[in-house]
Amino acid sequence: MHAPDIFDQRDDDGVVIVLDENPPADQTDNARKAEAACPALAIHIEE
Amino acid sequence: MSDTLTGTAAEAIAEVPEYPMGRDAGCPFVPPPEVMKLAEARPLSRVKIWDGSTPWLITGYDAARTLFSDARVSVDDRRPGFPHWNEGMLSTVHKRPRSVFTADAEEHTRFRRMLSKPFTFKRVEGLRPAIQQITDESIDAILTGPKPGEIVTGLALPVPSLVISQMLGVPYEDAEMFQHHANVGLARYAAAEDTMKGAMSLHKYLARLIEAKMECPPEKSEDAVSDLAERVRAGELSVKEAAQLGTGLLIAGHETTANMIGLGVLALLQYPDQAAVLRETDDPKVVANAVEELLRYLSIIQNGQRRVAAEDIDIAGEVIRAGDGIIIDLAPANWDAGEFAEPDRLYLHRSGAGQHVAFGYGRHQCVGQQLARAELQIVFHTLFRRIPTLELVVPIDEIPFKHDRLAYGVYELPVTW
Repeated sequence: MHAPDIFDQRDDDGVVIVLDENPPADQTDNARKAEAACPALAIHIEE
Repeated sequence: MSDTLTGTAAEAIAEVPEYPMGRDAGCPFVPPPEVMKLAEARPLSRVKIWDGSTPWLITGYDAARTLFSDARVSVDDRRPGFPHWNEGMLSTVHKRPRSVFTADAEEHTRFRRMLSKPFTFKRVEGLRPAIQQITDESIDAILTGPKPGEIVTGLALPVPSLVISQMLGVPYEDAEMFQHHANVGLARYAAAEDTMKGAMSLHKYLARLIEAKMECPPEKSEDAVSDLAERVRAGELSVKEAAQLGTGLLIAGHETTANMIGLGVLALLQYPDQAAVLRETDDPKVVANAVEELLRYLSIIQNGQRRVAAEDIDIAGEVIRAGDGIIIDLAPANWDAGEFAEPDRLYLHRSGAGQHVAFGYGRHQCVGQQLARAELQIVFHTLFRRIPTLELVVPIDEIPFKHDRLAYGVYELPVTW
């Protein structure tokens, strides 16, 4: 998991849950990695 | 004028190179030289396949990622123009039930969700101790067994098959039967009959297993077959669909990881300074990056991911027309110098190695990639730790390679220590 402070996965079906919609700046790299790796292309970052 | 045009068109078709292309026998880790020549010239080109059709071969990293994530690119193999692997796959296209591999859009999402439960981050992390134990026991057996030993039967095959069997809830005593049937159907030019037989046997076996789990459901579903049985009971899936999903997991999770282990060990033996990186580190981040680099460098899924354009697509100055076949070749994309500096070098500390497309990209990317990563991290690290003097017993040109399989690898890897 690239950004465990920002996302989790639902146990039932693996769907991603957003834990922190406004993550701190030190999580930028992790958020970008998660965006790049998401198979459903469901993660979008607004800056 | 029209004569000239016709002449040029005929010439252009005659020049279309045949695909798949062979590797250079002297450079077993290098993607086929002809593919790399095409990749050097353009990110996509026409190739001719077994049935005489001329789909697009995608060789550029950016083009591959763009098309993998484009909803107009379909995996539905019933669509006209779909570039089938071989005659066997074409002739069974209407007999095979729809699956996560051949469904688009919402239908795909429905199948994919059924599969995500056993592959969530937490479940895979929970399997690490079991993977470590299976790996240690396999290495114990090699060390106490005869010299020279053999890596494919001693380590590469048993680890993933034990792990996936445990994860699925398939009894290990059936593993040999599975491997046989999985291999028959996957040969590069498999006859229609063999493809059918292999798939049917696996399918029937898993359908029986799912039905058994439906009759005696476990208290808490901890394996993938029980998860699937739960979905069938809930009326979300038919037994047939569930068995097809299970068959896919088994084949995909078994042979691919095994090939990656065998070929990865060989690559590390060829580059002892890189093997030393793994042996001398205790940092899980270093081990994880090493595995990403091995995945990038080796790109074992050969002969391309097959797609068909559902609409016209503009890409890199070309137009892929609706109905054109698309073959996305992972190896040249992973060796694209525009993305990876000195791509032909195995460098376990490479930064950005994890950007590879060895597991594909977009919504169809490998559902089991976290499990594969966990297995590879544990196997490579443990092997070179526990057998630091590991070496080949024959020259590399005597190693038999799987040129004829959809997943590249080695048939045998005799070693001593």
